[in-house]
Amino acid sequence: MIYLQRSNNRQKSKLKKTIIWGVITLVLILIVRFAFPGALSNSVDSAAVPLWNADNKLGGLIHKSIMFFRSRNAIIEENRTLKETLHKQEADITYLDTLKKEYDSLMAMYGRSELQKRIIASVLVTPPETPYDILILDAGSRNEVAPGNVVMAEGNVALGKMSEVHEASGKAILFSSPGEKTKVFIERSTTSLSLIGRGGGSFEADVPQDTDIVVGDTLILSGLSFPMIGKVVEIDADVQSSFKKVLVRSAVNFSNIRFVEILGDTKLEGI
Amino acid sequence: MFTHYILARIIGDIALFFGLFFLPWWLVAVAGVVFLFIYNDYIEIIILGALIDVLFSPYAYTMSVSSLLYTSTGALLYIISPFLKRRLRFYNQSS
Repeated sequence: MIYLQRSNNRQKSKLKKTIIWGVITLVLILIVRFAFPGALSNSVDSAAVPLWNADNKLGGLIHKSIMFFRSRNAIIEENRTLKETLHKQEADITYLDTLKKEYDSLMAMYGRSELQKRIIASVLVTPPETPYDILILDAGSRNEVAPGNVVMAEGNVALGKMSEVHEASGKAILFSSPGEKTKVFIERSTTSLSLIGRGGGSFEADVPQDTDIVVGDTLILSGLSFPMIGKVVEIDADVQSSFKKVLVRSAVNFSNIRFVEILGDTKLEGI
Repeated sequence: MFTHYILARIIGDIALFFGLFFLPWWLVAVAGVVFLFIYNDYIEIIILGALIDVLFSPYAYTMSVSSLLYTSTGALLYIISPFLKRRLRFYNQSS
């Protein structure tokens, strides 16, 4: 009986000790983060960037090694497919170049210029390597990147905006980050709607039943170059509701991005 | 025995730290939770949560609730771990 009581008391004091130590550690972390927010973030960042760079290089090396051992037939087949795609894309590029020249001359006629400072950045970390829907980039304040700058990929696809900028690196929060709101337009009808990020390159929006929107519609950000956000993949229209749910998918697969462009002259605020 | 225990714990901590840079975050988080049950008073779980927040939170500069998500989760896990350990059948009560 006495033994059980002692054991109980020992367990209670152990629990008490655990709670006290847990609270003390949490408070200490909060104090450090509150007192030195920039310093802590910067020092972690300066230690992390070389490690992420090393990780990227190591990943590239492993990929090359795997490629070395792939079968000859598979490589020949892939080469043939790539050549076909290249020919098709060359034709598209020629057509787009003509349109771009036409667009530039029209803009010049109206006294507007679309020339923007574009900063190229290498992607160090992408989802799902990060718990938050962000990209970590190797461009920072030394490259004249500022918070709010729009991040683009594959030419004209807007991915997100810079949320935090350090000296040599920065974090870009993706428009598809959970809860992130972005005002966009339907390219075909110029109707505006508010997209809410759902994570992993997905968005959703509630629009009135009579809104002219169909599967396959392209959604764009406002601005002179109208960067694309994504395409409508599904519309869930419940006849009893006055709204329909629009599901949108980003045009880019985040896990395959290696380089992005940061529009140096833009500053996007939350809506 | 005691030295081995401490040494294994230190090596585990270092592996977790570097794992944050080279492995998917969830793998490191799962390893952290496993260590929480293997070691006594595994306070490193709170530091691991804080590191995840500082490294990956989009607004680590601010003191918003979302930028402290993993720090608070780590603290909560640490605090409830003794209760959980007492209720788990496979857990060795004598450790």
